[in-house]
Amino acid sequence: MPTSCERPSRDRKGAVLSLILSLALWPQSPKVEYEDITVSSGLGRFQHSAGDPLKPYLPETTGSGVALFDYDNDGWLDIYLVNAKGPAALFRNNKDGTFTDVTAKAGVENNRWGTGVCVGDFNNDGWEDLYVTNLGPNRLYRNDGNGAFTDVAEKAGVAATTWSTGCAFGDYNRDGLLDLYVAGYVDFDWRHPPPAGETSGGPAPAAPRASAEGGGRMGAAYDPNAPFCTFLGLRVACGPRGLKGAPDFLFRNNGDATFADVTRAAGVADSQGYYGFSVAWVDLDDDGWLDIVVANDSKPNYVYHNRRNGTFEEIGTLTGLATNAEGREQAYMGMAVGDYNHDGRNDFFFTTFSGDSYTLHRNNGNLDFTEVTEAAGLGAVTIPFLGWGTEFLDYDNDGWLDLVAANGHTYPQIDRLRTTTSYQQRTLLFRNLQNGRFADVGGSLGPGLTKPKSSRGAAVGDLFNDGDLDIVLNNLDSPPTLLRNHGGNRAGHWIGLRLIGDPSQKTPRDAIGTVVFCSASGFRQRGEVASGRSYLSQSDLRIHFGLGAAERVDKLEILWPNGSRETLTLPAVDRFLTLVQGKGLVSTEPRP
Amino acid sequence: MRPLRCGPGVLLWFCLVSFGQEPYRQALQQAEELRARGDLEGVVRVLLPWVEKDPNKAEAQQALGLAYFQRNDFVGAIRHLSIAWKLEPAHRQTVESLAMAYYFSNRSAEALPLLRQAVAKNPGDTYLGYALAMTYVYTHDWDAARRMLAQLFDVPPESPEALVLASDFLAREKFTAEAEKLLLQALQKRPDLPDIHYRLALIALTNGAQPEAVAQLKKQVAAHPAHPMAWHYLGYIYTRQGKLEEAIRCLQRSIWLNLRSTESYILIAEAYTQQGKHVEAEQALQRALELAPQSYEAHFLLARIYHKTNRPELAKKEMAIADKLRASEPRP
Repeated sequence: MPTSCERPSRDRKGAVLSLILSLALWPQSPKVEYEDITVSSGLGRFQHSAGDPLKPYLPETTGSGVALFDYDNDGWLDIYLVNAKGPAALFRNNKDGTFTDVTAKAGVENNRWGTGVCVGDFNNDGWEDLYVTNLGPNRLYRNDGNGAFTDVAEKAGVAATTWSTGCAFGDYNRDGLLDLYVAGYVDFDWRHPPPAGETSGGPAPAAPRASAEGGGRMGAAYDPNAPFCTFLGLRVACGPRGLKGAPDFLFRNNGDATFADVTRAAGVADSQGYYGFSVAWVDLDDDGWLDIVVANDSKPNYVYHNRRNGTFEEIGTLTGLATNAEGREQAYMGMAVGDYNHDGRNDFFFTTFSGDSYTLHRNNGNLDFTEVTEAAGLGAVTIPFLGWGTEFLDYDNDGWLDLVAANGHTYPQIDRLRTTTSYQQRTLLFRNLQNGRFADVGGSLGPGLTKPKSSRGAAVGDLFNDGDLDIVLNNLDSPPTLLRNHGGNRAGHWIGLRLIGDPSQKTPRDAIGTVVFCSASGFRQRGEVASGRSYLSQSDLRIHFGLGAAERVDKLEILWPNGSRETLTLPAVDRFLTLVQGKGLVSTEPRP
Repeated sequence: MRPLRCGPGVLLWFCLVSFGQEPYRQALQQAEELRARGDLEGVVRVLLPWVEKDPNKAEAQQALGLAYFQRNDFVGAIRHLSIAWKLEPAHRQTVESLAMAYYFSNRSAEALPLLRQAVAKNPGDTYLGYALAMTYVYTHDWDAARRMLAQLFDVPPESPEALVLASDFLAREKFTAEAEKLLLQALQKRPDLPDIHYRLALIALTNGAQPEAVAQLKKQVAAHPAHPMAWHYLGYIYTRQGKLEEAIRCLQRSIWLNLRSTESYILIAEAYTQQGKHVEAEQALQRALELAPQSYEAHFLLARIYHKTNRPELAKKEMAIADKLRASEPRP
């Protein structure tokens, strides 16, 4: 029983029950369906591989990310899938619902134990570059503009050699050059690993015992005095708790294709050795300077407030964004950033371990957040799930940000216990009810979302340029999942914005960090050009606004990273628009 | 019996054996003295060479195993005690220590037969009895767990009290479905059992079933309005749900019933904070800190209020206190 001053453990609830409820309660949702087109699209040829299926070591459990970006500047999103033990893959969009594997030609196999990926045009040459994190040296794949990439990480000074996870590009010093933040997870050495969990071909497992460290809300802690690590009595991979954390890095772009490691000087040195996963550059207080949020596994999140002088102050716990409402850390995995309640400020959603709810933090302004998970209806329903990639997305184009979360338990052995969680889990999709609450509607949007998977990375974007948002999941030890949105573009009007910044005005060319407010239908939405976020993944750099029934946009306000502002009116909706800093609208493309 | 023929050869052999035994006996004696002084490292240092030379030295294996056990090194304890047990299966202290070493190592299947054996020989030993009861829980033998717990708490094993008792232990170990079943059985046997709806509510809350938890808590306070913790948890749920007026009403009742309820003061402060009533929140937290100056939650929330009300220096100072308290909390 919980003692009087403890928060009662938010333990498991029936995943099956929640699915049934979601099916029963939301038949009236707009007719949008997500179809799994992995095989027909050609993406099914990719196979993620992460070692022993019983996952005796931590790196085998954490999976890899996915990036949606336009590497060849043809206006269509391509897909990059990171791999752990096998080669990564780049799929070029054929513009007909299929993709072609161009990895070899592009030279982006990685062939290291890959974890995360983020996208940014670090050299402002108009071609998006790729940063890939690894357990081991990272890659900075410079896009050569001819379909090929060159790894320049060593030369650029951004290789790092530890276990890096999430990453994100952002211009924190407003010099028009993208800087790079890289999160570090665990100081892990394959030659001297902690004790192995259960291995394939190993001895028969012992009878499970259901008493767990941390109440089962976090992974198995490493104890140097124990022969192996346990979770609910199961012998499993050790960590991250008890293991030494790997450092985070902030690399300042020197503007000459090299970066300087300014981690310590900038005051973001991960002094506590926390286990970093996801990274977001985001202007928390809307002062025009990018701050940093790092989601840490089993530890409080870092919130680094930009002091506008090249340094940051860590203020996580004070803001209410580092922990849950009671000041208790959770196993934070993925991070979504978006203005779900139309108050003009960025709110945060974090995925966490099973036995604990994911958390929604409402931005009150003035660097202050309130955890509103239960009030938003996101508490009990998420407790059985162990979440990773997550994004805010307006899947039904009603003008309100919904939420997607990719899930799957860390331990395959969990299926041996009589619990309501499971190793493979369905993808959660929450519809924004436009009143501060969300409802789980994943069960009513087609089998693509309900099929259980071991998902990790997740990215969102309009892969088919048809006006609604698709989802790609990178699944552990499996092919990925490509979920195509059918009907989103009929459920509501929309616009897609491609922004081009002017480096001569100290704005990155790909406009990362730009904030756009779209006023239509009597309310004002916020969108951003953002690198990283989710979990080890990169979503579409274009900004998508659902407009509901609105057939026109009243006003578009653009806040460029250099502090300049532009206000535009748009000629039409249901199309992609390209906006160039200082030049306004340069092209409109109705949907095909 | 034939008289022993003590020729010179036999005498020489006897002397050699005695001479060889003497240092071993001395080592055991020395180890015992070291153990009595608390020098467990010394015990290991003295005895390890003897078992490395001859693993069949049961007394040395037993003493070594005990030393490791007392150092909380259960791997080492099992290593030596399991050999000692094979050599002397009936040795009481070996059986007990090995059972407990397995118990503390989460190796329930191996602990169970040894604990049964140990408890059978020492039925009055509550230390072993508790371990056996919990091992029954871990091996999902609910009936045996209930009987053992009833014995430990001096209640009849088939009584509703025994069912409630077993339910509490099962709930603590997250077997909430089974815990709930036992409570419902107890409720059938005696509908007026005190705190039964409160317990059902906490299980529902653990399972994330807030509507069920609220329903049970309402039943509890209807039957027993002077139940401060039932009001507290109602306040907790309403605070989380953003129903702040209801939350404050419940938490005030909890405080009226227990003026020393630190946790209710903290929670009501949180509800006030969400309402933007920072003065009231601060006052509630000051009261909480009078009652529990080392409360992490109270310092944390106070720091957050200072932050919200733009008092940055106070906020940092208060959060530093909170962080220090958090760091000193025992690890989960």
